[in-house]
Amino acid sequence: MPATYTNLLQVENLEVEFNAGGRIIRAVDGVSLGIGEGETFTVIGESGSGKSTLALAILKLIKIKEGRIIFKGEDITNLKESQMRSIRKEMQIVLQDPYLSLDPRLRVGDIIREPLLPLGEKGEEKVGEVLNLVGLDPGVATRFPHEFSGGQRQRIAIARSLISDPKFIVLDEPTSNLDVSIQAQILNLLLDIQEKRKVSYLLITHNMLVAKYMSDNVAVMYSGKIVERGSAREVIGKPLHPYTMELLNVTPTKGFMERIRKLEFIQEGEVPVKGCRYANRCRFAKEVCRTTEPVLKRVSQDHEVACFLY
Amino acid sequence: MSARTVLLSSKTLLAGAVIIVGFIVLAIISALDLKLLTPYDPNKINFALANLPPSTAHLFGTDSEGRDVFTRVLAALPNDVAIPYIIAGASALIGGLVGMISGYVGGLVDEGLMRFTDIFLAFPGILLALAISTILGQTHVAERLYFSMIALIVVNWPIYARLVRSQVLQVRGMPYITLAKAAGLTRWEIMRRHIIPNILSLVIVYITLDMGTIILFYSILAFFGLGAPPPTPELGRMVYDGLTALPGNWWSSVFPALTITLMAVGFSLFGEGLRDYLDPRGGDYVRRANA
Repeated sequence: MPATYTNLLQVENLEVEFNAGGRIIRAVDGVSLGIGEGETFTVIGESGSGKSTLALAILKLIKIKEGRIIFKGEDITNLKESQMRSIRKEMQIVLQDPYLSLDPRLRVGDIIREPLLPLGEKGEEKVGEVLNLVGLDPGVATRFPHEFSGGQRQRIAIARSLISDPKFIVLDEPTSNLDVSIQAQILNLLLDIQEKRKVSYLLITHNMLVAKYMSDNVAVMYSGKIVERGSAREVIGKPLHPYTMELLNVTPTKGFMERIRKLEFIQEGEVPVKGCRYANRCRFAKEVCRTTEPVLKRVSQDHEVACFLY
Repeated sequence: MSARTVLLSSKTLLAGAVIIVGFIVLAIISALDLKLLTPYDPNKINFALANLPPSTAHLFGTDSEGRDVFTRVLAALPNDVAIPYIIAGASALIGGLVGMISGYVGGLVDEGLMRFTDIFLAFPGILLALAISTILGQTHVAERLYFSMIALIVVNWPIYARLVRSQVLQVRGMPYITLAKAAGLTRWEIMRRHIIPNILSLVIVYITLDMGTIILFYSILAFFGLGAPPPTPELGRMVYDGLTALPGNWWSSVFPALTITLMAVGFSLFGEGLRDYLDPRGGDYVRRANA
């Protein structure tokens, strides 16, 4: 495999399907993204948009139907679990709920050490190192999770994700279960760690403020598809897609309203079978939105959007 | 918390533990040397002493064949105490294994195994146990005791399979399992490290609560003469043998019956206490699993 690669992680046209009682649900539908080294890429979307599924698929924890995942220049899409073992230490994940993501029966030290087990390492001294890094006393390693607060538990979960010295960490809503005052501490901690360890983050969130604070690049996901993508500054500063606007709760600009008028209005009561998935909720939806599916279109150097308004 | 503080924290737990340990100690002494506990021979027939009411010489009186009931109760303890443990242990082991495979592998394996357990659960437990031990026990009188044990294991294991399966499914969905997979742990490692430790306490509570039922079920089989062949003393059989003497010579069946009850109550108390300790919210968790 080539040692040179432009992006640490490259996802191409990824599709994930679930069988929900005979009905096929495409949770992730043709998603592509690239994450550079030491970069934070954020996927924004509400619950049900498929963003967490995307994260699990990238880590190969659920079955992928279509597409490719290229990590460090190597195509890992079809690797067997036994072949994944050596790659897993490079990819870690921090989950949303710090109460359920730590096994209540294990001591903190054993929880943190877990990613080293498949490598056959003990890593006693590493545990103290990562605990220091997340701002906890190394002495807590002998205690049990229930002795800690939500914020402390999330620090433990982050320490765990760092023990195998990964290049890439998925952060699946890492702060959404925490008090607001703690959220900022955790986000700052994550930024600190990124600077010290040069790790790349794939951040999953529904919170625009978190996305703005953390990200280099963002993608907005709706119903399994990326509807807008670009640099955080562009997408959050100048949102184009009506869904992004809804998430940001901004009023459309004058020029936007003029473009709306040029499109045909759709008749009421029609249910779209194809076309834009957001059409049903979109206050600007026109005829064309119900018949044709919009594709991502580059509108400026760092900004792509899938909407007929542009 | 140490085991001692846990025991002292709850009266039911303590009472249950005292009864259980008391019976185990008595059973062990009785098995080693019955003479340490009583001067009488449990099997020696002496019609001159038949049907004596309880007195200081014969605490529980004597039966219609002149045997000291107290001595026979003590002599029955090694079997009657040990057998429920064997039945519960074997049922939990078999059921636990099936439940773990079913819950963890899922899919067609799960479907197949669960339909198989349904077959057993479709019959009322005690009737199935009676049928099995009657059919097998009739032809093999000497091995009757083992057939009764097998019958009760056959009746009991599906309940454990169900319990363990539901617990495995629950733990399997926990985020820390996702993390373990992301770390590259194998299925077996996840099972050993996360799933088994997390379901073990509930299974132990269930075994404890189940022990009372098993003691009663085994006594019922013994009552119908499906336990150890005579003259080996057995509590359930003694209740039956004393029935003919009721109501006049009540002691020869009432005292063995009370002993059975006390054993069952001991496990109930201990199980309830253990459950309340492990789940301070009120313990409807196990009750649901039981239903």
